[in-house]
Amino acid sequence: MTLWRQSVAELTKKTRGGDLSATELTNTFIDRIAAHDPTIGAFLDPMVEPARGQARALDAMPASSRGPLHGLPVAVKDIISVEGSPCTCGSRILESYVPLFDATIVERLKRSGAVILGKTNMDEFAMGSSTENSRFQTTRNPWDLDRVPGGSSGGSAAAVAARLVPAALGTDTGGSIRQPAALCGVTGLKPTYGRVSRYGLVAFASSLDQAGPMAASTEDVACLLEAIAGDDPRDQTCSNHPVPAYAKELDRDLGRPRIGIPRSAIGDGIDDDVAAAFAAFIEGLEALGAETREIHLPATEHATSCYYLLATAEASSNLARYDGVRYGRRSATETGLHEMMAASRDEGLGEEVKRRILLGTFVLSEGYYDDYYQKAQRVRSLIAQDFRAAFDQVDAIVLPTTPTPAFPIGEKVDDPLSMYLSDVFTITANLVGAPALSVPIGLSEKGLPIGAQLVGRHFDESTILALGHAFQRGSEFHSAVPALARD
Amino acid sequence: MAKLDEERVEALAKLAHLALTDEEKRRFGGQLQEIVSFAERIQALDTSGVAPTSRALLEAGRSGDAALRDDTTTQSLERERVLDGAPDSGDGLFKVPRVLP
Repeated sequence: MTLWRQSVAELTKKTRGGDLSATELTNTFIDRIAAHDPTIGAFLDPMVEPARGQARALDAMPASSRGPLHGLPVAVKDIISVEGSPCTCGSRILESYVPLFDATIVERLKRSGAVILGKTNMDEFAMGSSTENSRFQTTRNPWDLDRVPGGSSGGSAAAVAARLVPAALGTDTGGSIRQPAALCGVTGLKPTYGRVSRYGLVAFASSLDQAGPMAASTEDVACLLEAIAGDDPRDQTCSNHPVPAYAKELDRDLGRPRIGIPRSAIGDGIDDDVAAAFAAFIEGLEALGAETREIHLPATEHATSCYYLLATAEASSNLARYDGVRYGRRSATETGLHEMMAASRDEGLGEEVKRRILLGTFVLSEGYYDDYYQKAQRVRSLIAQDFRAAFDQVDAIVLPTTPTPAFPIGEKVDDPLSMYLSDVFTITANLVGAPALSVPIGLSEKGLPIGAQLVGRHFDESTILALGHAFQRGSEFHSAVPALARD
Repeated sequence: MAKLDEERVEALAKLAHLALTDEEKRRFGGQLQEIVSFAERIQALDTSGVAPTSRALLEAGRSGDAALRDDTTTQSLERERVLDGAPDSGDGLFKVPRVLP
């Protein structure tokens, strides 16, 4: 089989065994990026030369020091710091910003032998569900070039879908790994809050942000998670909970797992093709021995409201640092200090980011703090209670990742509320800090990928990964490659 | 319910250090009003006696002996390299436009 179609486990077995050099493997994907990315636009910077240098260094290493991901090219979303390469976050205000250090997860990938192959496009500061809010370029869905790849990790999802890299990292504050994974037909995991270090990631909403892997299969995702998960004293929210051997645990016997289906997951507002694929997915899980039951999560109908109040409040605070003083863009038009800051932010930040900063500032402002910010935090507690009660009865919760397949580029760009509502199924996992895996479960009539999520207990990625893996052993959807990328 | 007219948007923009055009103030006002009207639905939910959650997971973070690190100094970023990335610097400091007249 051609190299680029092979799994992370197959590729790293070859590189570790010396049958394939890191340089050969890296060049295979560099060639694919050169052939296909001009059409797709997944990469802001393919980092070809640094990747070649890294591969050469890996090839010069003694065989005994080869890591588990030896020579594996991995792309990272442009919100994750890689020393010496620009980290723009899709924003003009950080266009010239070059990090002086690697994010912990990049450091861990490198230590495992991975080659960082490129920074991927994203919605500005991860705010968006279509990657259309990038200030630099449009990323197209490899399954239909007139449609969005989803967002905000749309570049990472599109890159993996077209197999321009075998795996990528994204970040997920309200669905930004899972939603683009679903719309591009790849597998993506948002780990438990605290499972993966966020040191070196640009913060959007700190009580919700988490980084995680995206790849073709659950097995690939498990290999990546094993490399990036674990304690980091530099991120105080990061947990020192032991890291299991996720890839080994994929094949464990799950017995008769109990799976909960929330009523909203089969309710109104879901596209017919998505509903049909989701029903078939549930049948597939039942055929594997799962016992399914309907569960009720009453407070989750308020999740979208709760999320947009809290996430924007946190964002307005986190993004106050972009003021043209210490790094990033400074406006040359103003002479006073405050005028310079306001002008730098005006020139440097895009429309959606400004909108969210204003909303967050409103939510936190005098007279509204109690009614909006604190109220939303209390609603968040109710949503968490619903989840705790549900997990007393079930081992995992399933729901569609998105209500519809990928929508056309431009369709929702002038209607922020309708864009926000496309996150309805993903944001609850962020609000409660639970791990959630999106797997491809079918194609729509128009040939667009559809995904479903498995949500697990805190720090129990192993169960949802094992379920996803069991499903994918009997399914071909995760191996499907869009027509334009098959050569 | 809160009214997000141009005047309020202007006040919020000032708090957030954003310079907005009149057209932006009008547009953002309308859009924010729509979003807040939607979010307003949470007011209907009874949250009396419910404590607010400020972080995703209380179990996150380090537990046991690792919860507190030793109080030791470690190497931080080199000043010169940090200042190299700044829009303007001099004498080992970040430079900004004149603050006092």
